[in-house]
Amino acid sequence: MSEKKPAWKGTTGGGNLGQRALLLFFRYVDIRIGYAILACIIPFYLLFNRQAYLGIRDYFIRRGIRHGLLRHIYKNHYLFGQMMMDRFYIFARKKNVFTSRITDWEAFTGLLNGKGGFMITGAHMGNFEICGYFMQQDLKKLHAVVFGGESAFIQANRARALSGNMADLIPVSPDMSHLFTIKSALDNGDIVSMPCDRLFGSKKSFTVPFMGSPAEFPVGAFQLAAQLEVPVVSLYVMREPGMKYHIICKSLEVDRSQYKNSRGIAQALCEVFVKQTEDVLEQYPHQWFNFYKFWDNHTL
Amino acid sequence: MNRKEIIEIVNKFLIEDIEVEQEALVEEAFLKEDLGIDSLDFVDIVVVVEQNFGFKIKPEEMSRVKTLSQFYDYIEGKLNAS
Repeated sequence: MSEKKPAWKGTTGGGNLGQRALLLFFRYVDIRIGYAILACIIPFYLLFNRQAYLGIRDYFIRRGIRHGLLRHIYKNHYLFGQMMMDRFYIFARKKNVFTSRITDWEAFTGLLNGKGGFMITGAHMGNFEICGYFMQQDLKKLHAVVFGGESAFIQANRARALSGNMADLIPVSPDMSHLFTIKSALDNGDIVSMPCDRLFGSKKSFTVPFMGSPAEFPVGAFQLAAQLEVPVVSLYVMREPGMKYHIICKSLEVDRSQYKNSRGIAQALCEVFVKQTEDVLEQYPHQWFNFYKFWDNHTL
Repeated sequence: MNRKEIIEIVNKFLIEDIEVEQEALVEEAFLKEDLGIDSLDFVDIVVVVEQNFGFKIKPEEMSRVKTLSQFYDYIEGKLNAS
């Protein structure tokens, strides 16, 4: 286990004004017009947002892609913008206009119908945040752990959009009090969802091979799942052509009796999560949205 | 449960689960600075205390506990009060 400073800011781009303008825009304009504008804007992003460009370039090179890199980076940025617009479109229109297909839904419904609480792990790939709109259910309350540094406007919109779905937000706080909120939610038999690919809050991490090189993954979600002995399911919400999403559920299981303590279990859970994430990225290679050098402690 | 038993349970947990070195477990040791216990570990401590001593730790109470000795005192006080 090691400690590392985050290489990302963790906030949605555009600022308060830009986000409000986008929301207003989509109240009156069809989303396809938004996509067309997006396609024209991306080259400027590639030119002026060098950190994002270099981060994604690094990702594709690690995938073994060296030819047509610019085309792949463009597609990655376009898909990210498209999914951001999808979220704003749902915020603006207050209805879900997308269709979805689900793989291994039983991994989720089995836990949903059980008595106890459980955790959902996710990563900054696909459109994890939009799953709250697809997975409407009234059996368990969902608490989404989010980065506390987002603008008040974004947080208020997220909370409002989720409030009808038995869902609320747990912002990560510097005093780590969110850990106790998470524990009490799980004790109550609720669901807690957490992104598991970026360090926020605690800087403790596991170093796990990811796409051929060691990478740092935060300890938090895995350690909590191990300590509190709650089941975990990984969830990926991936964009497909048209107005479609593919929801992929994967049960995150290890034989907990094989490990001497909760840290060993947490490390094993993290390793399974990373493998699952790699498998999903094999299928959707352009939907990796960590726009910084994810492996920045390690050379290519 | 007497203080010696409390110390045994707490120390066993700190060594086995939090992986604290046995030599570091002196009463005046600071939980964060000397034993390297962070907020994630506190969640572990909350779970272990619930399981072994049968009461729930409140985060605000735990924020006043700085040293290992204070932690033993805290558990002892809670058990005596119940």
